[in-house]
Amino acid sequence: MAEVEDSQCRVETDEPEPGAMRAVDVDGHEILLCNVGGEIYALRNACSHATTRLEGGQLRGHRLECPLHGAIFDIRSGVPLTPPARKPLEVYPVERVQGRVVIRIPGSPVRTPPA
Amino acid sequence: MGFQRSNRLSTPLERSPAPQLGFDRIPKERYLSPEFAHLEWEQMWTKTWLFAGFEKDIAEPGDYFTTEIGPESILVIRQRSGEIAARYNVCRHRGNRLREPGMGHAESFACAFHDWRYNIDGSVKSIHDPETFPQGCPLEDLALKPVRCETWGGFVWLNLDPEARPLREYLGIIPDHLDPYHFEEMQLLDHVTIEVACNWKTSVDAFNEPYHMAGTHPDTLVFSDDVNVPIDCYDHHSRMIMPLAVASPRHPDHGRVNEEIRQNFLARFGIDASAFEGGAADVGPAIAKQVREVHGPALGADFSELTDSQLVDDFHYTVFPNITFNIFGMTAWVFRHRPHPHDPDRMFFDFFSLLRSPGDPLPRPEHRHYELSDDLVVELAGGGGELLAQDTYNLPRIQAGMHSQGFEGLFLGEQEIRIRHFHETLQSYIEGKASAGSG
Repeated sequence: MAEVEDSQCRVETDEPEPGAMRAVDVDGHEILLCNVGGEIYALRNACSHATTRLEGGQLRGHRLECPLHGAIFDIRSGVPLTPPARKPLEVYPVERVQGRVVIRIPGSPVRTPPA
Repeated sequence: MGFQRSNRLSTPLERSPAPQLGFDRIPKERYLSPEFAHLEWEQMWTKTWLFAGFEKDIAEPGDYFTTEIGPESILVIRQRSGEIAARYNVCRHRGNRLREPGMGHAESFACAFHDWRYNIDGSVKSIHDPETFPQGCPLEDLALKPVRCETWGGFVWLNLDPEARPLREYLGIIPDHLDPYHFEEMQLLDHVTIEVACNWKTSVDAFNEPYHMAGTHPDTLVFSDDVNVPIDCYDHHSRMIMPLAVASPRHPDHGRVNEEIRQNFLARFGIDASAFEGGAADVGPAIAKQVREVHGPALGADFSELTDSQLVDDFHYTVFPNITFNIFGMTAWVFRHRPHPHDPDRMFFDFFSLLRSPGDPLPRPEHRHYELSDDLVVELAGGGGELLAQDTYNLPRIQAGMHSQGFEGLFLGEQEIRIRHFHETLQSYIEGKASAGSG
């Protein structure tokens, strides 16, 4: 389900298992959900260096390593911790509502994720 | 106890003959001169087995870590076969580094310069626009260059010399002495690197004798014996054994179970310090018994191959050229002293804190980096931060002082024989005489 709220896209989806990641593609919005110790984080699923999808990378704590060149990001802030990435990843606000993950994507049209 | 090993190991404790190494000063130029640093690189660093990291850090195929030594960076990678391989961290196209220093996981290694890609076994996976190389792209010649890589004790070791003798031969007495500690069952509690303004040997030397305890660590004499310290020099490597949980003969509490020993040893090991009625000679055996009978089962570790002394005292080994072990039985500190790529007045000090805990895996501690400053006291999991700060405080001052016209070279006493032995071993490499010897 998706609803309009203050011109933001609310994407509802299932959450990944603790320690795991799940890629969600909503009409061109490629989003990566990460579960670290029960906390859910949502990021743009494209390395800020070479736009590589990140779900094949390694998640260690809050550090996510890009599978292509090894840049490491802090998934809490999206900040790159090592080169070759220099720009932060976009991060999205996330909350849990009735057992589902709700991601807010500012300024996006309303879309519903695939089941 | 629920543990019994069929082939029990024991660390040889007999003394080695004292080496006759003369009394000359150690020339200070060895610590200061770029020319000597270059000789070290050409003749020693590129020919000795070097500790690179931990097998546990690369458990799954594709897991890798880099190790930086002098001007080189090496990728150490778990293979799909389960073996560990090492490759220069250098793209064969234009020499770009493939990965930043650190550790991670890769299905392949892509160069961020021209997108050449390599499989985890180092073979070429793909070359961007290969048809534009009219000379052809011979894949076997373009694979990542291999580095000799072997393991002992859960540690990964590298040798930049393709013709090097096997690791075990190089290590000599070390496996016989240290296998009873079962380093393969140890897990990392902490991992810190400090960049220090001193030569790497200034740092090795600083830990290679008991003579500095009274001057650098006077607060430790209340619980450590810096006088009755057996020192043994082997072919390449050396050892000293520093008794702990006993006050130094220099200290007024010598022979007494003082409050420091009660709190920092008996109570820390879970013994009721206020109820302890034994004498000074009873403290060590009580701690050893506690480790074997209480901590061992809790950790899932069998400490029965270690003597009382090995479960209390600091068994201190220097593995040539740049590894210092402080082994306390249940725990250990490992120091690695790495040369700077081009400046003999700088080095990298790596600190690894270990706990023998074969049961549940501990989370891998984050690798923390610092540049040394006078007020730096690194808080270390497992302790030792204040002690280390006392040592590192000296290091840049020693290096600066060695540059002075008022200093000719190291004037060493018999408590410092390991430093003389270390330089003797280094000299044998500088002169090209060492490679055929054994550890």
